[in-house]
Amino acid sequence: MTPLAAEEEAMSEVTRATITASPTRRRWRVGVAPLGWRVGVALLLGWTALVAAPHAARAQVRGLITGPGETAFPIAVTDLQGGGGEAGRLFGATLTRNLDLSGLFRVLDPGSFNGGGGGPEDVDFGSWASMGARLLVTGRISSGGGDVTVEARLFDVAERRQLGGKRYSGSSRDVRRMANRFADEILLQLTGEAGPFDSRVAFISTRSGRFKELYVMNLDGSDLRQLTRNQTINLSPSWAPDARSLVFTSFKDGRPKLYEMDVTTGRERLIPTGPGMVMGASFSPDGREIAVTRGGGKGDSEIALVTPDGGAISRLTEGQAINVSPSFSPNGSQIVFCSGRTGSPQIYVMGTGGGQPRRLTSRGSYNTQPVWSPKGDKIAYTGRVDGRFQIFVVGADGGEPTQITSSRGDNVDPTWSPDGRYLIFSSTRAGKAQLYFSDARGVRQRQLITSPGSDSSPAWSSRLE
Amino acid sequence: MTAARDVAVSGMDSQEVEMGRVQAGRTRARTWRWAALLLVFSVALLPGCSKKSSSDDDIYDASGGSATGGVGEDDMARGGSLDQYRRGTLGGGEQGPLSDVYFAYDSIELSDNAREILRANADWLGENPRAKVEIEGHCDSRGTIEYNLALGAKRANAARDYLVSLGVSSSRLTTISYGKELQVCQEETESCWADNRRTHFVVGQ
Repeated sequence: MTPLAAEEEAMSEVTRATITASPTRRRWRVGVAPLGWRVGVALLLGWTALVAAPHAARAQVRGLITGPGETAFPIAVTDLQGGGGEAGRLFGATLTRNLDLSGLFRVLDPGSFNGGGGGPEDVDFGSWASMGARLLVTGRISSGGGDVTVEARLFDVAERRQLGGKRYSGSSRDVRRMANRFADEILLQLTGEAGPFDSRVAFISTRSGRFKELYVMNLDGSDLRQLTRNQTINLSPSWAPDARSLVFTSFKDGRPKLYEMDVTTGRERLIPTGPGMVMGASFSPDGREIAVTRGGGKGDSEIALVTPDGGAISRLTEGQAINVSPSFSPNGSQIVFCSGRTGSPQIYVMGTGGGQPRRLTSRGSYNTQPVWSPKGDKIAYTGRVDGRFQIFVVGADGGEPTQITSSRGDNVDPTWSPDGRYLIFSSTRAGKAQLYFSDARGVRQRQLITSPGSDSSPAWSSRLE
Repeated sequence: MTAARDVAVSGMDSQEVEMGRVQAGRTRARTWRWAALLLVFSVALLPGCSKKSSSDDDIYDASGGSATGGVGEDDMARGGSLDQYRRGTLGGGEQGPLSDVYFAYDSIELSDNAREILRANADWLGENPRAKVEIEGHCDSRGTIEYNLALGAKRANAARDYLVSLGVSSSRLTTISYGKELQVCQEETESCWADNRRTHFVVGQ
């Protein structure tokens, strides 16, 4: 565990540096902001608008990129100057994989570059344009004494402009995270919203044998670690908003109870939830409350709010019906959940302060596992179609749901990316349950990692700090 | 040591590059590594610390256990489906004195056959007044984990409520749901699904 802490420390220092430099970033990000926002900022900060005005033309690329699954932008990712050996190769491979997963880009084959295009700073834009590149990433790497510095730049080839540049310093272990952070930066520059790649995924897997144990990895598949070894049943992880700990349901003491796991230290503790067995839980966006599904007084399932230290407890649902799978709205004022109160499992929304639940799904006889997008506008859920289970996305205010999977296997357990653009879910489309990555419209779906066991219940963390 | 500064990178439109250094962070990380090691050792050496977590359990069990009956969890774990699963014998036909009850898909309704089996189970419990029973609710492999946990709980409750209506004291009965987690039959067929939709009765003293 300890080396990870070192890595975290190293990269968080980069974050702090980035935050310190933010006045500069804000100044030149104004050029790529939406018009309304630009006007607002100009009113507030007149001098800023003056400085930024010459760069307003940069908005051209951004205006063309609207979302994953749209026209893929041809982007060239060059080898880092200075080589860097394995570190350089890892940076390029990780960045390329992220850009490909994003669905926003078509990463050009490096074999077609022919060594042309100039250096990291003196880019030959004409040459890149003739090779079909619309966007270009260059960079250099230097290393010494176990330290690695990567400087990466993003260019708009047609506009002959640099859109962004970042310098990352850390140990050689941090190189993949540098690539993840730069991928997030590229999406920020082109869409105004950072990408989701510097994040973690917790999930349940049988890869170590027969038992369902809890695992965590970085989104890029690196740093995979087994968090539980209790050889019973562990279920339904949900991240705390700071991505440092998660709650999960475990049968390790015989009866299912709620536990919190610190993913850095591996420390595990019981969260008291009152009488009744636990059937899953999720954190509120501010981390101060946990919505838990538990057996009610008569053993039915109800949704209750508890604090992480087991303090105040209040019930949100009443009655004999099944109520499961709570998920908070990003502002914490509402909860979406599954209830069987009308005879079949359907999706409902209710205020965390109480009140009458509002039914969200009107079609199908089995709709469950709702998860609220971190952006607030959409809710993903699992629904049954012709005896198979598929992932749906519906507006948080209702409307027509979009079925985003249609494979022969079952697709279940959706979880949103921190930017609300993507989903990870578990699917048996190719046999054993495996994790898949998709944009929120289901246009492009890729297997995230290949597991020797069955992988399920993915939980996508917020962006790492 | 937050040497964050903006650098105008030469030659390119005077765009700024954001950069940071991390030397201070790495030194601090080493210090933390030692602190963490020390902490691990001190926790391992202090019996008081490990006791604390089990006393937390006791507090919880006092409220959780009493609401569902008075059978100790250690007794229940032995011979139950989770215990069999851990030993690799689940689905091997290991039978207690009480028969399983089966359900239709996504249903908690007790069929005539189910009621007949429960009456026989109630008779056996009448003849063995010291026996206590944990009623396990199970589901087939279709559907989602959390919903099936809730469905299994309702199946276990349905069986319990019927036994109580036949005169079995509720203090002898506890319930637990394993949802779709402990399948006695692994194939994706109608007959397998039917075998898995069950309540199972584990007898303890």
